[in-house]
Amino acid sequence: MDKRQLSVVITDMFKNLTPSQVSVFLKNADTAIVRVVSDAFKGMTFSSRAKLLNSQFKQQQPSLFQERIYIFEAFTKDEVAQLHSKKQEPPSDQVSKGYRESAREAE
Amino acid sequence: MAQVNWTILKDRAATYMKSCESLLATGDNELVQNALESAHLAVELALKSAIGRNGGHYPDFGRRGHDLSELVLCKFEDGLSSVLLKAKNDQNTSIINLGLTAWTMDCRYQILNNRANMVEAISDYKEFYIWIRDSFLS
Repeated sequence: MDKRQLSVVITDMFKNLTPSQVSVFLKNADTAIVRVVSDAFKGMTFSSRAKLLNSQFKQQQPSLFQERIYIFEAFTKDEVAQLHSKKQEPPSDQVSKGYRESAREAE
Repeated sequence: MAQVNWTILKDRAATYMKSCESLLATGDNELVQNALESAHLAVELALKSAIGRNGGHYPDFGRRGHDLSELVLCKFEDGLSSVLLKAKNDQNTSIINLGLTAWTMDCRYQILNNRANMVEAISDYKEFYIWIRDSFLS
């Protein structure tokens, strides 16, 4: 199955989430990155979203599921918009910024 | 660069996971991020230990040396086996999918900004680490 066919199958698989975007990137023969953008993910942790997509995929396409690694990128529309902005503002309930972000600011 | 002996990597991985658990147990929000990073390192070193034990050669410099998605594909000495192949044979690729998803959200997007996200990512890393340890390092 080529990338186009894989994209079609995966898009159909996740249509119940009414996604605004589904994209598939084949990193290599053994690894695919599946991005699903949907506001159905609002209020869910990233782990919960990944488990939802993983479980649905495994159930609906067990053979295809076993063929390779799938890294799931599950974002809401707002989160995707923030990914593209230069600086992300952390949510209000965040833990401390941490050294990585402070290091970035210091650059 | 010479590959580090697999038993040393195994022990360091275990220590990082112990650190993760200790940091998480403090309940201090600032330390949760350190716990997440410790869990990530535990997985990385456990993968390198698994590869080394089985005669494989892991990338040990640059970005590739820290790319978990590359480490799971590294071939062992027989040129066929790998961490991924074992997961496929076990019908357990989910464990890799979820571990690498946590890694991507943390390292690539740095989007795990709240406690709930970090704690669940740590749980996914921990499951992945335990599977690597039990499958390859025991």
